[in-house]
Amino acid sequence: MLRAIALGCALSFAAPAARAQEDAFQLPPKPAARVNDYAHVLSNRALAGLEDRYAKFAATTGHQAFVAIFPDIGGQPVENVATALFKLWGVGDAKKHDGILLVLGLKERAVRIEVGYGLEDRIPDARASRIIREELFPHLKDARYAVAVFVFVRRLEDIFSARPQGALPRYQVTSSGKLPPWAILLFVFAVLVPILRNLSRARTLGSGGVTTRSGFSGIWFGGGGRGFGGGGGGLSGGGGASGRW
Amino acid sequence: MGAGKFLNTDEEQRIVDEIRHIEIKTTGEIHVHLAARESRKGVLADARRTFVKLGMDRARERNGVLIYIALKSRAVACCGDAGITEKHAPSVFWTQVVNGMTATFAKGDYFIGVSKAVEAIGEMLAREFPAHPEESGGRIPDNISRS
Repeated sequence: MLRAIALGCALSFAAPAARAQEDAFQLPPKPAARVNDYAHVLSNRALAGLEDRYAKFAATTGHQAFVAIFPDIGGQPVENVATALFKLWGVGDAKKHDGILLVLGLKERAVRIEVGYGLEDRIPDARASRIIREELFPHLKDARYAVAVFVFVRRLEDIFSARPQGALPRYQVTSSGKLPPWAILLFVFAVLVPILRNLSRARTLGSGGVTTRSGFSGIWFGGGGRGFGGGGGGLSGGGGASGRW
Repeated sequence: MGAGKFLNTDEEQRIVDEIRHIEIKTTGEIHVHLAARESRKGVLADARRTFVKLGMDRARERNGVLIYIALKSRAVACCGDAGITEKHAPSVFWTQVVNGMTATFAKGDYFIGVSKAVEAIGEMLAREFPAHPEESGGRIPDNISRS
């Protein structure tokens, strides 16, 4: 948690330095682990516990779920990164196409759930988008990445009714108690202010005050400044009309 | 007016078939959604929210189109995703589609109204976003959804 806050600070104040790395983003080769924390935001203990839970999920359901957490995805649209990674790693069974991949780009605050088409009836886009908005965003925006990754696998277990029985290690609780006052101040400035600003901007765009601006993939707490490019996009660019009879 | 009387099962099936037929010819996606009422934000805002909820913003070329009909409020909206720019479909296009629907709905011809709208949108999509030979079909179910 503390490390996550430190990371948040580094990101908001050292943006120019980070930009130099953007171009260098490359997809990592297929890993041995299911939960892959390239951003080093998960503790070893959380990582081990999560890995275990994801392995259990695969063992009980036969479907593979992978997680990739990147410090940044080079400013690319998270959809592209996720699709490319899904293909590169060959997530899921080659014939059944039943893999699931969760991708987080911390700097871009982008998240995407990529579902192999063999499972699209179980996890249709609308469902995935609801999982992101209602279950992942709340944790992601407070930098509780371990919790988000855990909540995700638990959701998958529910969908495939494969919740493990019996006592489980309590690795899921990873938040570290009370925050120091300076952290709350930081939160207000780093999180709430941009949100409020975005809200008012969204309203002027006439997009109906949608702050997450996307369904299946999304961006959490849009920090002020740079726009999100093709990140998750909203509907503000498309045409439309309404009327009544 | 109940949602059931808007389109009977047979008519609904014909609309769905029509959409399937269109989606063979284009990468675009059409979906019809029936709701009871419009919210205070207005029917177009409702349509956009439903659009995202249905996952229609996942179409690769961002070229989904949603026809959203709030039956009790007698309001209709039609919205396209960001990939369908002014160049593909000018704002007149959307107004015409919606006006066509409201005019026929006012006469009680719901099936004809929806069908004509689907046809017009399909024509636009097939022209502006022709299908690639290797992939076809919509990415979300073609059935008419309700909320």
